[in-house]
Amino acid sequence: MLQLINIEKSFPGFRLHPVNLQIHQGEYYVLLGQSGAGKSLLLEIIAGITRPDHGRVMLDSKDISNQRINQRNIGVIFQDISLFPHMLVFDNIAYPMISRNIGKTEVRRRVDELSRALGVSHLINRKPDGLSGGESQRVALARVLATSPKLLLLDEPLTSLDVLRKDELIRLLKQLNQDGMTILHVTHEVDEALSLASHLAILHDGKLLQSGSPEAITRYPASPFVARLMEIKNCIEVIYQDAVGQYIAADNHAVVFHLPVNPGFRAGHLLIHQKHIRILEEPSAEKSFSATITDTSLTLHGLEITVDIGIPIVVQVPAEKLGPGKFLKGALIRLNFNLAQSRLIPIV
Amino acid sequence: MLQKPSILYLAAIFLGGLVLLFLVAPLAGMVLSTTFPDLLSTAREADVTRSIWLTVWTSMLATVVFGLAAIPFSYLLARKSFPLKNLVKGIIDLPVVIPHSAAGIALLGFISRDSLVGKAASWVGIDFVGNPLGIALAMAFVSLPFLINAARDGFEAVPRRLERTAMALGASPARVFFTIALPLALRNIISGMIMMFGRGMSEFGAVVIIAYHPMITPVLIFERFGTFGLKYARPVAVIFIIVSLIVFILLRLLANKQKTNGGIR
Repeated sequence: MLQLINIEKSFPGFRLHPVNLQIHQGEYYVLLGQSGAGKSLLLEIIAGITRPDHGRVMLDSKDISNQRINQRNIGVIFQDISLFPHMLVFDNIAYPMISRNIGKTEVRRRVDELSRALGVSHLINRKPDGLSGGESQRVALARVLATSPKLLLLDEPLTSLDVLRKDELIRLLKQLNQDGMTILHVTHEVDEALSLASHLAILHDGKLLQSGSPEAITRYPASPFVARLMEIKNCIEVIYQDAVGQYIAADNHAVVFHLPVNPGFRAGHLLIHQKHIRILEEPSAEKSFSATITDTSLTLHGLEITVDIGIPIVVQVPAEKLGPGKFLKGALIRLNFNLAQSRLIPIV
Repeated sequence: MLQKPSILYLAAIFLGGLVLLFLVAPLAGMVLSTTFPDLLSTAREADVTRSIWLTVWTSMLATVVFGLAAIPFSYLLARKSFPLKNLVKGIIDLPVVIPHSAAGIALLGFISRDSLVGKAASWVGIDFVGNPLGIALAMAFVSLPFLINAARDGFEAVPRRLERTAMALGASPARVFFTIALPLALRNIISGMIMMFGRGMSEFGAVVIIAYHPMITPVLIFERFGTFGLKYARPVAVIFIIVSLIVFILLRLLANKQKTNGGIR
C-alpha cells in the first residue's frame, strides 16, 4: 500500500539514511525509536510536509512524492494534536469535509456519526481549549477520519495521556485498525509499540535497524541496541577461546558460557533475557554460576536483581521465589543460564 | 510583615509618575482652560465638523484599502524567507523614522500632476493633490508600518503546525489562510488597523504638503493657531482629541469583543 523507496534527508547534524519500508493494507505498522531518531521526520515526509532529498513515496503503487500535502489523502495527527483553537469541536470535525465541498446536510450527518463513534458527541459545542488530552485525541481522530484517509499517520498519540486514557485509546486504535484502517504509528514507548503493532520497525539515528513482526524482533533482535530497546538487559560482549572451546566474557575471561551450539563467530554479543536466568534453590549438578547480589529494584514485571558473577548480570526473580528476608544486597545465590534461549550476534 | 520596597522600585514609581504627568498635564491643561460654551460653539462650526468628518473617513479609507494589500503581504513576511527580506522589513519601517514633512515632499513628487502616477491618475480624472484621495495616500504612507508590523507579528504567532494540519485535512493554501491564519491573527490585525487609523487621523506633516485644502482637522488646528492664535485653536484641538478618543475606545471595545465563529451549524 505505502512504500518508501530509498528515502533520504539531511540536515546539519542529522541524516536520515536511505529508508526502505513497505506498509500493507490493513496493517498496524509501528515505528519505534528514541527521540531524535528521525521518526517524526519520516512521518512528515510521508504526509508531504517535508520533501526528501532523494527517494520516492508510493501510495497504492502511485508515486506521490511530488503531490502536495492537501492532495495525498493521508490522515495525520501530530503529537500536539493541533485542534483548531478558534473553532468549536463540531467545526473542527467538519473542517475537512467543507474543504472538499461536501453539502451541509451530509456534513452534519457525518459529524454526528463520527462524534458518536468516537464518543465525543457531547463535546461538539465546546471549544478545544477545555478538553482533556483523551478527549482532544478523540476529536482529532474524528476529524482525520472525516477525510476517509487511505492511511493514518499517528505521531506519539499516547504521550500526553494518563494510564487509563492510554488503555482506552489503545482499544480505540485497535478497533479502528480491525475495521480496516491502515495505520502508521510512531512512538518511543516499547510497551505501546508491542501492544499495538502487527508490524514493528526500529529506527535509530536515522537508520532503519530492523523490521518484522513484534514477536520476531523481541525474540531475535538484530543488534545490541534493538535488544536493549526490547528490554533484554544482559548484552554481554564475548569472544571465542580456542583453548577452552567456549565463549568467554570479554571483560572477564574467567566467566565462561557453555553455548549448546557453536555458531562459529570469533566475537559477538550474547543476549540473555533476564527471565531466562534461573535461581537455584540448592546445590545442583547443573552448570551454574555463583553470584553476589549487588542491587535490587522493583519493576512492573516483579523484582529484578543485579548480581556479580565476575561481570554484572540482571536477573528477574519469579514471584514464587519472593519472600521476607530473601534477595537482600550482599547475599550469595547460584544461577543457571538457559543459554538455549540466548542469542549470539556477531560483531562485524 | 510587609517587605520594604527597594530603592530601585521606588525610583521607578517616581520616574513613571513624572512621565505620566508629562503626558497628561498638557492635555489636561488644554481641556481645563477651554470653556464648555467655547467648545459648543466651535463644534457647531461647519468648517470644524467638515474637517473632522474628512479626517475620519480619509483615514478609514487609507486603512481599509491599504489593509487589503498589506495583510496578505504581512502573511508573506511572516511565513516565507526570500532574498533581501531584512531590507524589505527596513523599508517598511522607513516612514516611522523619516520626518513626515519630508515624506510629504517625497510623496508629492510621486503623485503630482507631472509624475507618471499623477499623469495616469489624471487620465482617469483624478488629481491627488488637494484631493481627499491624496490625503488618504499621505495618511497611508506614514501609518502603514503600524498595520504591517502588527499583522506580521500576529501571523508569526500562529503555529505552523495548525496550518499544516489544515493542509493535511485537504484545505488549499487559500483556505488555510482564510480559515486558520487570518482568524487566529485577527486580534493583532485589528489592533494594527486601529493603530494605523489613529496614526492616519493625527497626521499633519505629510498631509499639509499634499493637500492644505480640503482641510483635515490637524491642518485646521494649525491654521487657526497661525491666523487667530492659541485661544481659537484650542477648542478645535480639544474637540478633535475627544472625537479621536471616542473612536479609539469604540474600536478597541469592538476588537476586544468575543469574536464569533462562522461555522455551518
